[in-house]
Amino acid sequence: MNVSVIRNIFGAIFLLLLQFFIINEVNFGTIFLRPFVYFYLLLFFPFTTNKYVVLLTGFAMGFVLDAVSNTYGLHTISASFLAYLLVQFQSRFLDVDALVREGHFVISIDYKGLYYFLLYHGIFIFIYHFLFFMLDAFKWNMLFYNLLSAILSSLLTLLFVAVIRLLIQKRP
Amino acid sequence: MLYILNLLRKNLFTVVFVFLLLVGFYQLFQFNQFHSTFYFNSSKSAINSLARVQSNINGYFNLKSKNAALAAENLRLREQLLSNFIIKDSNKLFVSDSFGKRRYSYVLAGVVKSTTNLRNNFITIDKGSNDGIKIGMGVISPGGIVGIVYDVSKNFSLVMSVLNSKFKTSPFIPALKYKEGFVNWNGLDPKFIQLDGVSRFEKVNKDMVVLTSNYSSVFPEGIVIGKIDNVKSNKSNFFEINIKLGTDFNKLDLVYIVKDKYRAELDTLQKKTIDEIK
Repeated sequence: MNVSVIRNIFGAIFLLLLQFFIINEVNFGTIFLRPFVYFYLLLFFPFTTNKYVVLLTGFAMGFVLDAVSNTYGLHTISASFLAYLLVQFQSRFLDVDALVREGHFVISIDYKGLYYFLLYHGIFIFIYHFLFFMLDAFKWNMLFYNLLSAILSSLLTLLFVAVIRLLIQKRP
Repeated sequence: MLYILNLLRKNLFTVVFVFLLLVGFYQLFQFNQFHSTFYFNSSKSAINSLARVQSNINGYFNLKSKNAALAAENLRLREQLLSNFIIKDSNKLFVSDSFGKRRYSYVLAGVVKSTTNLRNNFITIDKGSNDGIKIGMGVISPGGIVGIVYDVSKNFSLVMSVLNSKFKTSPFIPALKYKEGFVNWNGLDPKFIQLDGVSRFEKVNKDMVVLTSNYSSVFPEGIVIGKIDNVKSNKSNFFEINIKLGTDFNKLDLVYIVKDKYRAELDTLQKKTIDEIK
């Protein structure tokens, strides 16, 4: 229990540093590519985690990133919303108890294959990006641009998530 | 009452969520509706020391282009020196000390953190209220305008970049002697800014230089905004003009903060007049 708590705290700090110092600094050459990867931790909290822990982690990570990168609440709102959505989705549409009994604590690639993995996480990643860009622009007439940048950035984040999962996946 | 309490307890998770959401929305609305500063920004956070290490490292990567920009600015200033001119009319040789009063002075500052990939970008610089920086001062670079000081702490300031939807300034096109309209960023390309409100009867051409006008109380007159890149005419009475910015925001490293001696006087006068009209 304690080991996983410490591991998650270090994971959160590492992801925030990665986001702030490396990914925010990379110039992708176009304004449409602005991937956010720091909420990787939220996506892969085990189903057995207390739902308040998930929500408060999302809030805290968003809040810290907001304070250092001058984004006036955008990450706080988006990350809290993502955490809430994840918890609600898992409790309503997934049979969590059965999943845990079968040994699946997260939706990983070996649960129902790569296609299901990409679709499941892709939707949540897209929702985060789209919400962030809409709040950032704060205008409806930017909808098309926001949609485009959300799709492109989500694809990049999804690639990152898939690569990390493939790397840390236990070999049978 | 009991019913309400029960309802709250059943939906505690959602209640907590809504509360956390309000914290975020408070900051967002502070910025978007009231145009005031959001509290948790990098002029206050301790992360600046970390960000400074990063900017020190990044600073080495484009020393060459920075040198070139500074040399170009030096050349421009050197050409304005009085010793370059032969004064033919001996009557005008007198340059009395009280001939002109100094209006603007400048403070040099280093950029600690800067973004270009958001719709509302900010720049953190390493001079603050200890160096006499106040909210609302203009910030320029060797290449052109940079932004307006938005929030100040003792040793750092947060600058609202030109690349921010809240930024507006009035332009001056010297080739046409045209001063109408305003400059504002549409949020798409950090190399270009948009000029709105130029009448379509003006003969606007590509490569015309756009400067700050004397209508602006933030910037001195004649600071470079950029060069006109393309002109589009649409159904309305105004052109859609793209200006290529003089400042390269991706390589921003040194900036000057403009201190205007008469700013307070000007502001009180304007405020008084507006209050009287009301």
